[in-house]
Amino acid sequence: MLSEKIIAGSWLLFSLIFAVIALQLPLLENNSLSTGGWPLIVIGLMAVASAVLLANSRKYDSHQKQKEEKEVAVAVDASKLTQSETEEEVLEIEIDRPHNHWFIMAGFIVYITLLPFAGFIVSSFLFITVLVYLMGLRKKMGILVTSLVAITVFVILFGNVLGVPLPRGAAIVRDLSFMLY
Amino acid sequence: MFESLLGGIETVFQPINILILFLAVFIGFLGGALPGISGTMLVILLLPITYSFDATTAFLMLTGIYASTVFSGMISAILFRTPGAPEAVATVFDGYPMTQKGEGGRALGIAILSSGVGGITGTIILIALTPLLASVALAFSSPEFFGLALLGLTVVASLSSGQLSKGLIGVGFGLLIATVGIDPLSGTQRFTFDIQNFSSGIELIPVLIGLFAVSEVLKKSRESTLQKQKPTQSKVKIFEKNVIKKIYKTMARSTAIGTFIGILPGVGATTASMLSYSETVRWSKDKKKFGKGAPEGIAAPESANNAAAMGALVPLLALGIPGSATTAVILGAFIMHGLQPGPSLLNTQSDLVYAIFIGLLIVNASIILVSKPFIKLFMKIMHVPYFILGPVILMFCVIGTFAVRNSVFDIWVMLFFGFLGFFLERFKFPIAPIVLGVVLGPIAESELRRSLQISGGDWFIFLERPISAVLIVISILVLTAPILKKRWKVLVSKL
Repeated sequence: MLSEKIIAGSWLLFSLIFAVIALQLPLLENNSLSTGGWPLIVIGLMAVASAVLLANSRKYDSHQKQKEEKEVAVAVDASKLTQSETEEEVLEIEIDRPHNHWFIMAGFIVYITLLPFAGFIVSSFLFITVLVYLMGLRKKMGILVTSLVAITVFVILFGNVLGVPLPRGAAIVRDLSFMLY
Repeated sequence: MFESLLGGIETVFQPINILILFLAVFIGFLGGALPGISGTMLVILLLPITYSFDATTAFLMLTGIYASTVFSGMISAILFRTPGAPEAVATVFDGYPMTQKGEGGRALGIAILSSGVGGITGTIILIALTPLLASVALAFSSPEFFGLALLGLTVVASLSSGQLSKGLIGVGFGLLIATVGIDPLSGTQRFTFDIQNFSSGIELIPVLIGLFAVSEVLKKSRESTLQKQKPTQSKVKIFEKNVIKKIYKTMARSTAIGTFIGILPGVGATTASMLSYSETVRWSKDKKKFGKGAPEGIAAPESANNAAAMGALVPLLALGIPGSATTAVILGAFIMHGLQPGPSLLNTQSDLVYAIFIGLLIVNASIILVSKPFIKLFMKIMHVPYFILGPVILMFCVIGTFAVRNSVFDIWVMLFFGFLGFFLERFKFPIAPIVLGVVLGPIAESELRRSLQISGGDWFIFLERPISAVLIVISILVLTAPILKKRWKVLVSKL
């Protein structure tokens, strides 16, 4: 599989880059390992394993192909299915939103960037709203209520009852946050 | 000792202490089950509240929370593939697949029984053998600790999706992550790229939460939020004869492993659960069933982590050395209350120490007795639509990560590992070895380097000491066994 080769190649490249960095650190001191010694051992292990994975990826491909053929044959004969396998078929996961993870990642990046400035309440309210929408709720009132209830519970439970530190934001937002948690 | 135990019972069964103990169980159960809230965090959060308490009451609360969070971390690990505490990471491997098969109730029952048995047994061993166990722990030196770390790394790496190379890459990556920051032995910065936030290293909790919880939410965000079928077994069954028959040996072995590892300073319940899981797979005649909902795969880590959590109190109480991160916080609590844990504590404060022992027995027994109502509450959470649950889980993760050291940078780390975990799993790359590398990395490196400093650079020190030699030989055999087995089969078939 091409993806296997890409992953193996990526890890190998990663190992080589970090090996170069590690070599700039002192490796030995008084005959024992120094700062760069252990990382170099670990990187060496990763590099060897990546090279082996790359070399074996063709063998893995043919093994997977045989395995898939066997699975098709088993699926055809329904009487051989165990109860758990039947349940797995029924619970088979449908991918409704194949690109949703990208939107959530983008939302997360914006959220974390906003946090130090807008503080926990504003940033999290916006983030939860976006998340609830992305996860499938479409009713506007439902989204609003869910976000409001969630943020209220978090602030009361964590910020006040448990005294867990929450980001406060900057300037006036920070000053206002002390009134709430 | 018997008189001291009676004194401990008398102390614990005072109304205020019993109330505090059950409050601690309640807080620990709920807090430990919530992803993003760990036992360490709960103990830290409640420490200021205990300043005004009597010392016995304070430590009953703190140790009660400590014991119950180790147990309850498995609830969200099994139901949502999100370990509520680091100690429950290994429980995800077989707990969640069992839930996916519709047997979440059975998985929880196995975990409850294993946790209770491990915890109670660990506490009994703690009470009976504290002085003796403390002397055994004193005999271990750096080569032995390194051998133990190596064994843990090699055994799990060899079980990674049937591809040793992927497992080794994962472990290596985890070990490399653990090196980021200031080298503790030389004070030199490593892989910080002049970024100040990297100087203090990469914290374990953001890595764990990212790899397991955030990646899972990202995965589920693509799926339909409608459940086609309800899980076939939602009732929690703790005492199922046929299941107990399958797991009793695993529980016994894992409890022993967990208690022993827990006693060793700096190793901890997370390592114990990983090692116990690895050993269970190794001892099993049918290794392929693991990772797909094997009862033994739940019993092993849960027995071990609860036993180890009790064992970790041995070096704390007997030597004044914390056995884990949470016991380090408890050590701070002792000092704040004007007490010095160590050999003298058993003489000067035996009522307190034995009250703690009795309190721990009660907490571990309550795991079996009162966990069902708590779990029923959490089982109901399963029916909550994921468009509510997913965002809530993510917010818990953010809050829990931020609380570690009040750092937005840690949230970025969590997000990065969330992305990484998601994409690695998309490409069938196991993430468990990464976690193991991060957990065992600091121990492995520091003990290796210390050993070489002691020996003046002579690597044979590991073979000259019998215990470390045995551990290293076993590690090499375990690592090479799958390869040798394949080569042997090929050779035999050619002949």
